[in-house]
Amino acid sequence: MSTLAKRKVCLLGATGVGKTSLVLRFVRSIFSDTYQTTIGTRIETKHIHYDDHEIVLVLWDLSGEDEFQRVRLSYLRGAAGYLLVADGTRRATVETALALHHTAAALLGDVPRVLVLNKADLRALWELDDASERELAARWPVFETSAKTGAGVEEAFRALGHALLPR
Amino acid sequence: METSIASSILASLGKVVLERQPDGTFLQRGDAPAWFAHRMRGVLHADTPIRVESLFPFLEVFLPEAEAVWQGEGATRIDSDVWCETAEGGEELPLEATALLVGPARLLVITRCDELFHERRLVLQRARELRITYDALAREIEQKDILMHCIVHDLASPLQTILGVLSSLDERDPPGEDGVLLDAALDAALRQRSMIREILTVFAAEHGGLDATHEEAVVCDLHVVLPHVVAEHERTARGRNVRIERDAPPPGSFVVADEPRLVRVLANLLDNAVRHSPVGGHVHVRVRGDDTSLEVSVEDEGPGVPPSLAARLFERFGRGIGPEAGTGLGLYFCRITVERWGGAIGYAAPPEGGARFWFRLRRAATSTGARAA
Repeated sequence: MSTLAKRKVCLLGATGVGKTSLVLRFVRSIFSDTYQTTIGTRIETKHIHYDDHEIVLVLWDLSGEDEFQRVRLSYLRGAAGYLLVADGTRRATVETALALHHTAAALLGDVPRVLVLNKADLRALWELDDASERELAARWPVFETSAKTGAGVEEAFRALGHALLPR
Repeated sequence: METSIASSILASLGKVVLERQPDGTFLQRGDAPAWFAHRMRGVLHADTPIRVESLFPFLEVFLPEAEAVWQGEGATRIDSDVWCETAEGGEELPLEATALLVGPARLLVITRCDELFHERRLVLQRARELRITYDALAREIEQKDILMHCIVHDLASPLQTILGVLSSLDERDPPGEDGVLLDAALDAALRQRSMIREILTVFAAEHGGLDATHEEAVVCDLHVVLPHVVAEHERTARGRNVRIERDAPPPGSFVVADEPRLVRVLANLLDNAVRHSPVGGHVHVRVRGDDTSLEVSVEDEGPGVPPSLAARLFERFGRGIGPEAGTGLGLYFCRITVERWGGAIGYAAPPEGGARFWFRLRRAATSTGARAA
């Protein structure tokens, strides 16, 4: 290993889209069907290896944005990138994710980010149609994930981590 | 001795006290609670410098705010939000930090706050679960409404054919029992068409057919509409030997309403009144008003509305029972329509018996901008 870099990454998205489940799946390979809302911020770390590099992602899982709790913008300070999470079964959560993106981009500038459309295991119930997804994919790196089955989760985090490697 | 006891109390309350040093590191003061010692992988010497932001990344965003307190600028203490670390074994470690200035000492107190964390989560989780369930139900209802609309719409096409055929046969004026049966079939088909129209009208009203901004602009004259609707119902009423008596609103009785839907509201109330009137009964349509509104009431001499039903008369599917009951959408349509015009609708049981339905509409400005008389 030639380098070891530590990068702060924030997870942003509406309530109940599965941010915590994605982190738990990625960091500890576990999933629970029981929904537990996030209070404030939850922090986890994960080492990722790429050929001759290793990176440490410090994952800031921020409480969902809704009428009960706002995302505190100061928590974005120092983030090297962010993961926007939406729930494919709830179209409105995509709008929330995009609104959070505008806020984050204004604070952090043009840092690496990916858009994650979670709950791919419920594909038949998605409100987001293929055309909308293609439209999003034209502007973002988009990943369909399922925290439940694990599909796409590693790929999404690894893609963001790769973009954060020291050049 | 006293300092030692205080230190032990703080530790047993899950609090660790750290003092900020000029170089930005921290020194532990007093005893360490078990969770902190575990995180530090052992008991520290009092002079071991600690980089708290490395130990707790969350503090990266809190320390700049704490700095203002330690510099003596403004408040003498500041609390962080709750954040959650993961202890070894995957256990949640909810923490809260407080920065305070005690004499010259710049202190950072980190507290393990399991109870506060779990209570807060319980409340917030319940609220969020309810919100998610509410949204899901609203989406499901909307989907079912659309499905119902499609089904009802499809039912209308063959009915048109049936009505056409029955009307053609009726024109041949078949004699005797055939004619009676044909009239009964035609009446039933017309009633079914009316029910279908009612359902489709409600659907249109609920799903964006009405625009509140637009509503302010629509005006119609009760002086014109009321006689027209009553005249249309007189034929049906005569068939049941029911007589409709009405007031004559003065010319220029302008109200906030649009004519096609006001006709349907009036028609709904008149239909109900005629249908529930006894043979030989009377239906009274009265109009009265004040400076700001006009009220129309439709009164019949029927059995009235059972008290158990009165409270939900204007709700969706709040229909009565028996052969005279409709789709349960007529009065619901009347309510949502009148309310969108900024009016009100209601039912009263007159002491002398029968039923009295009324609706009140705002007077509208005339085209010259003055209020109608």
